[in-house]
Amino acid sequence: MIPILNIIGIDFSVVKESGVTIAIVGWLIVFAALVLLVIVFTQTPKIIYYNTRKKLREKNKESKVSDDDLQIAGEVSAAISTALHLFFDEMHDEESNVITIKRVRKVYSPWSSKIYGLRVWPRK
Amino acid sequence: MKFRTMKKLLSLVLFLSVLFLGNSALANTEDIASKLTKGKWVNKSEGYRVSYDSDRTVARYKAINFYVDRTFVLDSIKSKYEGEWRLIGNSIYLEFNSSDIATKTARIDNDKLIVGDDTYKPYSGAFAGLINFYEFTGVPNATLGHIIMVLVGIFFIFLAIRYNYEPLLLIPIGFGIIIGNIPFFQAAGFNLKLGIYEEGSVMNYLYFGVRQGIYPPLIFLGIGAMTDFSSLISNPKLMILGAAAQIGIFLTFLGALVLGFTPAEAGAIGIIGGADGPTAIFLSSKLSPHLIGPIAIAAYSYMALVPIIQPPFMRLITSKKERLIRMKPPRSVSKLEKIMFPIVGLLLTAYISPSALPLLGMLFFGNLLKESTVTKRLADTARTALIDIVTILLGITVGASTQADVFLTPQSLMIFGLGALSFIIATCGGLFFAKLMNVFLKGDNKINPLIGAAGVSAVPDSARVVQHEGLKADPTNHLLMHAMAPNVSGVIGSAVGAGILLSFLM
Repeated sequence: MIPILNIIGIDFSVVKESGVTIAIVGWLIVFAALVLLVIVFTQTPKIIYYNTRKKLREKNKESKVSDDDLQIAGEVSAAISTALHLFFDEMHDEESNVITIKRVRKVYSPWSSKIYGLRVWPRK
Repeated sequence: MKFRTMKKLLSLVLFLSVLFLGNSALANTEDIASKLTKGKWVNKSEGYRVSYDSDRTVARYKAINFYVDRTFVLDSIKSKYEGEWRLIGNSIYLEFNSSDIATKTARIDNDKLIVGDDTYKPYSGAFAGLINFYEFTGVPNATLGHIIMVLVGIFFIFLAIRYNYEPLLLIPIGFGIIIGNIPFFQAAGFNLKLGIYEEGSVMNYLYFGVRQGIYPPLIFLGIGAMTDFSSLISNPKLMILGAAAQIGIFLTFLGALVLGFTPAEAGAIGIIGGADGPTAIFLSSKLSPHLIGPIAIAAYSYMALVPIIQPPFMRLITSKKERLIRMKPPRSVSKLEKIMFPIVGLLLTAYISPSALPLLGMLFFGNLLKESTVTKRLADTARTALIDIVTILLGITVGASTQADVFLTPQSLMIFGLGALSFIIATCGGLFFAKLMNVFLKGDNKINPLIGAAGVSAVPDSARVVQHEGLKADPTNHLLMHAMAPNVSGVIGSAVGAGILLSFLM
């Protein structure tokens, strides 16, 4: 294959030296970085829920607590939040249906009194 | 007596002929002077280079204005030369005020002024002004390349409006291409401060953000502030798919080396395979600034064409049975995990690849602004106003950087070819790795290999393509949430890859 490509003018010697090393090492480093993240974030929930798991084990007196006991699936969370949203959204419809008219009485204040307006000449 | 009369007569004839000849010579001189000082003398010569960086030559005008007070002004593209003219017989001597320019001899022949090898034609002052105006319009400066690039710009705008392909990018880039390919007067050593490559022009100042790699980290800040990493945190193993798809970067790097690019250029071209425009611009600005235009255009146009490039390979590599695989719904992720992710993610990735710090730092910082929930205002600014402003500036300047004489080169064509190849390799890399993972996964944990294609970091386009293809196989199987995990890990992976190439090749 390579001799054929060499005939049509593609020179592979330039790749042989450092190119292949950079490519392989580079890709492996990208892998390493993301694999490290995978390891960290696979273990994180175990550390976070360590106490909860321990308490559940003591409470239920079971040797092992499954992940389902600790976490709610995303779909369940979505269903609960949709239900809550709908409940709060429709709450205003459930009113007492009693319409009342209340007479508004204002407390007397000399500041709003019409007797002491500016049009009235002060009595001497 | 007779001889004396004859002698007098001969003297008279001689005197009269001398007088006549002298008079006619004087009349001829005055005639040349009046011709010279009437209007302007305009010359058009080929062979002017448009810039010091380009070998393209064009025809340019220069004009000489002779004044009755025996002074003249030679107006050429670069500057004006002044001097004095003298008439001796039919020869006109041009003595320049600048001592650097030697005296030149000119003559009028058939109503044309000949100065050395240049021929000047006489025009009235108004007509010479019109010629000058015409020279500065786009018409005489247009080339086939300019027209082709304007059509490319219009095609980008068409794709964005008609097919909704990445309109937020293709509209600014498409219009930028049109702006960058409006032809204008160019000459080496002459700066009108108009073009993007002319120092001091407004476009040049805006382009500074691209050249110096300022815009990409700001875009990453916005991406971080709008990205929800919870799908990734809930199923971390999908992150590896983001790494697998980065094979596109490194194989394209090798391909570019084979095609004769230097290692630095090859690295900048290879990053197109990361399918991440800002990362491509960031890396090419550091490794090979002269290739920013073609690399950025290739990266962004292939990102926009993800819905066309990926599906055939997705269908080719996966079987119908594989495409029907239903994945376990992702678990809900706690707030603590979401806050931890940007901090731990930055520490791990930036320690491995510190050269990618501007990108990774801004990405994770933006995400922390979002997930901390106490900096809502900052997160809102980063994911709306800030990223919009930077996208506008980035798009328009990257588009304008495709000035035909700089952009239309065989190198650009090779970059476009390699770019397409890198997208295909990245897509296939992700798909094959997903299939490989399925060999080791059992039962509910099996993954739909289609999501491997989302490992290229074109967010969220490739995830959307996965969802679309998944729905084609099974209209009730929604893969979007699952595909977002490799998609955002692809962003991290391509930034890490860019950092690695930078540290190897810079």
